Amino acid sequence: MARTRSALMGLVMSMAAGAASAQPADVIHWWTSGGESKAVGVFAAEFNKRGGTWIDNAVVGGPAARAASMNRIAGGNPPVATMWNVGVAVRQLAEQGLLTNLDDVAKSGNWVANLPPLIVKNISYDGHIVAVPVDLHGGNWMFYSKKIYDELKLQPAKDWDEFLVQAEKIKAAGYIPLAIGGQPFQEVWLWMPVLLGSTGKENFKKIYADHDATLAAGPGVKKAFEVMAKLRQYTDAGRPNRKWNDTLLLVQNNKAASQFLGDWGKGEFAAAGLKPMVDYGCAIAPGNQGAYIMNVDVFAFPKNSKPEVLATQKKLAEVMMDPAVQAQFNLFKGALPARLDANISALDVCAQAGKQIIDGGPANQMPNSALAFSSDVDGQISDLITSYFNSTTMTADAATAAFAKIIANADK
Amino acid sequence: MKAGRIGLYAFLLGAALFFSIPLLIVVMTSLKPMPEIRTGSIFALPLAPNFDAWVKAWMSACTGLACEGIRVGFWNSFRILIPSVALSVMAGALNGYALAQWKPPGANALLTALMLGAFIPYQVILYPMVKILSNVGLYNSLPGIIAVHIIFGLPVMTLIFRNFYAGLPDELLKAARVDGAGFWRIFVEIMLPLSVNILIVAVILQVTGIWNDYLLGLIFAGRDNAPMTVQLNLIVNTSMGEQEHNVNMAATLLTALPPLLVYFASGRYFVRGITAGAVKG
Amino acid sequence: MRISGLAARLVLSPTVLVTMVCFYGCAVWTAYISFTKSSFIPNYTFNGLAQYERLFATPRWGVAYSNMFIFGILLVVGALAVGLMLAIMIDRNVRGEGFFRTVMLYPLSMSFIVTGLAWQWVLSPSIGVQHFVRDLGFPNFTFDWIAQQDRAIYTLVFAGVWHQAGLIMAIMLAGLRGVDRDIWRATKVEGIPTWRVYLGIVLPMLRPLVVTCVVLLSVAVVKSYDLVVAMTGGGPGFASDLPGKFVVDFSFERANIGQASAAAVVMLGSVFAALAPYFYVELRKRPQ
Repeated sequence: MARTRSALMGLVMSMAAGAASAQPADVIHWWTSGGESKAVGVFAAEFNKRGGTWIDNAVVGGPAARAASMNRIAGGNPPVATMWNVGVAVRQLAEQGLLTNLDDVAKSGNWVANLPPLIVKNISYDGHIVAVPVDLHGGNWMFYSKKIYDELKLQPAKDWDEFLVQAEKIKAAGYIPLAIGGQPFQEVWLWMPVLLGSTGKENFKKIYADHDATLAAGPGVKKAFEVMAKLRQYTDAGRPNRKWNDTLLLVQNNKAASQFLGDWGKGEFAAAGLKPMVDYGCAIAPGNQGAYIMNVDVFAFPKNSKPEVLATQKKLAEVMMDPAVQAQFNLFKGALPARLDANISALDVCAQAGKQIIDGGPANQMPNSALAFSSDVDGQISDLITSYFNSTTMTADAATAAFAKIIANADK
Repeated sequence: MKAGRIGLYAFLLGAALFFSIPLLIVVMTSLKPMPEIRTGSIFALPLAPNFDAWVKAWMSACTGLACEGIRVGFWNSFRILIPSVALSVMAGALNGYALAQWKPPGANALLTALMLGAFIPYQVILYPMVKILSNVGLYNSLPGIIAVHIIFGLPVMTLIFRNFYAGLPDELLKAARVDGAGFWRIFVEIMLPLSVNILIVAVILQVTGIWNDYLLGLIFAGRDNAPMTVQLNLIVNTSMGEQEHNVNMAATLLTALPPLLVYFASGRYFVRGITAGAVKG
Repeated sequence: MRISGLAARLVLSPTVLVTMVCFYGCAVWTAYISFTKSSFIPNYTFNGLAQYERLFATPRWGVAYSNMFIFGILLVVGALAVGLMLAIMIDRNVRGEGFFRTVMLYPLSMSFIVTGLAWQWVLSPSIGVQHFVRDLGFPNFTFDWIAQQDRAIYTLVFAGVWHQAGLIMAIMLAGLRGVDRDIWRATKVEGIPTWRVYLGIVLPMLRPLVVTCVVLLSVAVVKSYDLVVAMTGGGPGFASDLPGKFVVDFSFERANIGQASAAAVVMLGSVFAALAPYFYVELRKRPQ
């Protein structure tokens, strides 16, 4: 029954596209939340308009989706396109010879000139372009409840010391100063702006991008861990294993004052009909002014022996890197287009502010974990942060030493 | 004596309450509208129970881009379930019969090997299994997921049938052989009729195990055959703005319904089957 | 005689093949990988014991491994105790046996992807039991184990016992039913108190069933993955991590199957070492 229905759907879709089941592209990705699904729909619609047939293959959770892709590739039946982690992860795929080269599409679309250098470096392997960056998320945003801030006459804090003082006031007024879900990756999202705010953006880049172990053992890092320990007392008891979008509800409903996550949070606000700087506030995290921690989603195209699939992949890549399509996609995704020449006038106030920082050049463009480390090292950092944040006995000194050790071994 | 009886019932009822709390919460939440869930207690009874969330879960909940509800996965799960249960139970029965009654050389070794094999978690052997299945052309297909379920069911199925048949008297087999009956005739005409209870136990175990499986279905079944549990996970993790807990709970109950019904209907046979020596040490 | 024996061997041969290839062949492959440099796909360069050295130096593995024993022993003892007690009570001629049996058995039929969220809600300090009791008028009541690093693993035991106790109860009930009613009559005549009858006579008779229950529960402990993910996510931090989840995380998310394989080998080795004596004793006792 399901088979007949999906066959019927395929037929209807291909009739709408004006060609009999032309260029089917089954795409594996892990965008399953509200704003994300809408955003993916933009790519699907445009691809279908240009004569292709988008076959959606959403798998819940990055690791499961990547596993599904890897198993398909190992099983000899690779998807036409798969979402992947940028950086070391995608280079590992390319190293194994598993990816289609996109150099000709990149040339005709003028990609390299219109992408931040850090991104170009991370989508290339051995001089070839092997992945398509579709968005540029900023990971160091603070979303806050305008109602609580206005009521207590607060402005977004300039640095972490000020934030801690404000948190005390907010707590006294009966609100939750810091909303966070007790999952390792959420704790890491908090850690990165805390680290950047404590060591400054040049040092942050040196530690993350250059793996500077001396700086990683230094006082800036220790201060960051101390701030993390202090922040703990301003969170609420209901945080164990709570999802990020459930946690964001606390800010939406004005029960919590702030949450630190990337600009993908805007999608959830938008789906609830809330407008930035009207119903809720967005600001760059304390101490992070002039720096944008970049988080990039990419699609990779597993190598395929059939020439018609190759043509489909190239078309899909073109669609995804089209400036206008990227702008539309990011309207729903809540991020900036990866392409710097895309027209972002339709994007909201927060995005515009983010673009201004990015336009300030490479000095403002910071890597996040994925652009800096392999998933293994990223995992080690994640284990350390989550263990420290939830511990009542681990000292900042011990954490700093452990962190420095991880950075020192990051390239082995 | 009377005080003792009251204490007995009190304890049993208390235990029943502890056991049913999660189910009650799931059911009650599925009958409430979202505003009530947001503001009320999770333990409160629904003010005006309605089945809107159930309808939405079945018909129109979103699993990624498609918003067709969970019914798509329902039929897939059945198409996976029926052949997998039938074949794995049969395989277990034949194996158990062969091991217990015919006792070929190496029977004990095979049995131990199978029992130890039951402990090996899937995650550990996933990658080589993918490679093996794709080499025989079964990867990402309906026959493939069925084969995987049969393979992973072999240890427990063989074990329980073997224990059961080992409890039957040897005279049965000897008498039949004297009469000239062979392996297959004895199985069909003598063993099977005696095995009704243990067959039901095996079917119950396999139905719940296979219906509730998530990992194997995700990896081996392929997108077109995705079972209901995979769809459920997509629904629970696809949220239009806010987590629609009532829809998630309803979808959860719909997914749990078939094995639940199997349990309600045949719980009695389960106990009877165990009594019949199914799981004797 | 020889010809009919052949049929049995033919029937068993696919199972032998599958067991050899799928279970043991794959397990051997995994063990081999644990001695290589593999990261996100297999790489057959021999690497000695490096993966194991790294594994034992990883704090998270130490926690997960010891959790396996804490969780395992508590779950086995807990489920056995609860299941046995319930079975004994139901065996004493209570009415509504069908109802009780169904209520205790149904958890086994629901997967944790399904019930994990309900448990999370019940145990959450902000919306679950703690919140409920405080609202009832006990403002100092605390039950936030799920948020405590040293207590979170016990919440997993709760949910695990809830899941498995019904099965144990059903098995034990069947065993109790098999006890000769004459024994009860005889001991009543002799005036021996009930609890002594259970302890001294009935329970020893149930020993083979107890062994079976231990096996079934141990398998469930080793394979635990859904339970951890749905309830605590391995947290807070990684305090409630279990080897089953560790292996999966390293295979997929961390893209490091070298580490995952080493962890799997250690995990399986420990379990086999603990259970092999059981199997040996059990097989020897079986009526042949």
